[in-house]
Amino acid sequence: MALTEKMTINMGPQHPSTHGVLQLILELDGEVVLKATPHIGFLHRGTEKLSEHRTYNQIVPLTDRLDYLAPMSNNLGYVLAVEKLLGISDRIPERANVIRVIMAELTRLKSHLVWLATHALDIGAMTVFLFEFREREAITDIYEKVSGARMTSNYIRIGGVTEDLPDGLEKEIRDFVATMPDHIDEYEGLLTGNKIWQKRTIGVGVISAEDAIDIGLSGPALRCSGVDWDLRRDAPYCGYETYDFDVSSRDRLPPIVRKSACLRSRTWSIPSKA
Amino acid sequence: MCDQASVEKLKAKFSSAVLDVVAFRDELTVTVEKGRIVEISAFLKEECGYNFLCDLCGVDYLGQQPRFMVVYNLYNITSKKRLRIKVAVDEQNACVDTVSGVWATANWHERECWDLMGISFSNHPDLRRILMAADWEGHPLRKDYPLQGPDREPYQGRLS
Repeated sequence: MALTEKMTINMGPQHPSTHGVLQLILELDGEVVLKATPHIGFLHRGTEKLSEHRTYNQIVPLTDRLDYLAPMSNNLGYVLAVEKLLGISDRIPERANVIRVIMAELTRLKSHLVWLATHALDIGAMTVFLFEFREREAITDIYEKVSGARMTSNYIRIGGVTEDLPDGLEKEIRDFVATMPDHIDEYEGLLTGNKIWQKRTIGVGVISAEDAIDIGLSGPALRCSGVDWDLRRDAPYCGYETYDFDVSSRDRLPPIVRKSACLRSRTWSIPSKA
Repeated sequence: MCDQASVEKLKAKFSSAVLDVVAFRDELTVTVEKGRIVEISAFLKEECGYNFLCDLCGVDYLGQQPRFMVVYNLYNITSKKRLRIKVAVDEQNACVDTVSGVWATANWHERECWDLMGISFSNHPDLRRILMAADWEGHPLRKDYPLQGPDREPYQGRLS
């Protein structure tokens, strides 16, 4: 006769799978998580408090470090707010806006590549991790050519961008973008039909659309819970209303199709950069 | 996007509680009375469709009376309209009713407001510190809390 009991385990702030410091107190019954209590704050670096002692432009490097997988997006979010307050949103040069959109989409790709890579790695599919970080190197090279830094770009500033794209970068971006759909097919081939992947993800962590809105999810998580919403389409900025792109969202997806939806949403970000 | 219609409905229903309406850069900000925030939130969610609470934060206007403001950033996903509600909070009576019954996401936002600003929320299901350590003293984001922390000398060098 088996003797079973629930275990309370600490998945401490430093853990290979928490990807950044997050503490979870887990109540486990075997391998099923019955309750997870998160303890956050380990990555709180006091950006708001620091910003109170800096000028508007001095805060841009701080925003780089907020979500360090998507630095230019953070720059952009902050800078758009300041431009709105200043009332200069319609006086940003058109070329700067197009560069911002290109950089924002490349940043989105950069961040989503890490998401899927680490997700697959935690489940055990290490090849996906290596393949995606290879793609990421191409984007990081573009970052370095444009801003001087591989990660903390500090490139999108109030009123535009720091400086124009260097010569030859447009061709490099186009070449990279042309290779991406094949790479995404590669990842799909490794994961979508994979029985192990399916067993680990189907039916796990499903969030309904009403719950998602109530608990304040946004971005891809909200889309994959079945809510048809995309900030780029619904509250456009930087001229997104002039771009042609699809928003992927399907009803009530389990994470496996959630992943496909997010993958597909990344492919849509590619054709829009005409 | 401005949603004048919802503000008119709000003013019609809660005429005494709506203290001020400001339109700036195409955004509407409504200052309301602290005591009726839960009713107003429920009204905005059910009748005007503001089902998404984007953010709930506290602002410290050190030197002004009242010292704090609690700001609710609301979003209507269907009509894609935004609205901002502000509630003035005194330093002596730094307490607001919780809206976590209206929007579940307010739970953690209010915990952060309590942790960093010291504004407590009555009837909150779980009001404890969220970012700072559980035994921390003081509310770090207040303007009179030192930037470098309570146990260090201020930074003496240049910022740029």
